[in-house]
Amino acid sequence: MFQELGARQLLTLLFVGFSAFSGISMVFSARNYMEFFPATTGATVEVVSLNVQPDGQQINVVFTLKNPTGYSGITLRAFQASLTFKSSDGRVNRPYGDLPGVSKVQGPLDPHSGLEITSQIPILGQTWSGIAQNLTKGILTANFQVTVNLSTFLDSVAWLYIYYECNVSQTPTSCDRTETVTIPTGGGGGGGS
Amino acid sequence: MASIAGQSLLRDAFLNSLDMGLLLLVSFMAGALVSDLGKAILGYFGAVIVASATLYLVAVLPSLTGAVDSANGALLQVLWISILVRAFFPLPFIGILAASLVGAAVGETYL
Repeated sequence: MFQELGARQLLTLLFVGFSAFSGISMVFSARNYMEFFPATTGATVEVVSLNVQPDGQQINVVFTLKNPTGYSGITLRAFQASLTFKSSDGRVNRPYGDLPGVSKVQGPLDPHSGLEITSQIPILGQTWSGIAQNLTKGILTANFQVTVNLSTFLDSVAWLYIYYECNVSQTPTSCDRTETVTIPTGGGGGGGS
Repeated sequence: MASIAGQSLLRDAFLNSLDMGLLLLVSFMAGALVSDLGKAILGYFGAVIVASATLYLVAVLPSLTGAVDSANGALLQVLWISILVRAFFPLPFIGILAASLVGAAVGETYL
């Protein structure tokens, strides 16, 4: 069949076929791209467990960062969390500082799955130990300020930071997203919401 | 051109060497089919404008449909201008034009 065609007709067929194939490939890329924003805006952080050791010397906390969408291509670059002990009446507000061990956790955020981030918080001294015991009794709540830095395909032009706040008196507790900030890597300001 | 660049830019935000090769090939083929240097230059600029506009519209669609909030949506539009300019200027822009012209010359001679 193709033997009857001249070089121009063959080239035209090749061009049309190539264009059609590229067009179909782009549709798949575009579909995945359209899921990118729901994936970043829908990423959730949850405190799945928080317990004080019986001797009151350590608090163990486990966070889960979840990607509830079918998008693949997001990686956790950095996870940072700071802890403040608070009472419901506002009388107690004791900042503990950054949680140890969480910043080392990195990895891909697969579709419909999550990453587990664990921290063992040492409680040293009588005052902190007392605060930890009050946490167990429910007198105080643990307030975590979480910063998640996600690595995406836009890394060459911008970095994405998502901020969460978690008030934990009992687990599991979902954290509230407080802000999403996109920072251009070429300098300049960032967009926030 | 839009679909070749788009399937890569929407995934990685940059063009790799395979994409560049495919862009050069398709430009060469288009030039050869036109078989006229003047029309090839005009066609090239037309194709670049249409491809850039199509890609940009697809890329910023989430900000137009409200999938991204207004602050990040505005930033997204600026970022995509930056991505497209980085992807196409200056070498790919010149290389693709050259491929179209070589294709047109080959087409004029052999087709």
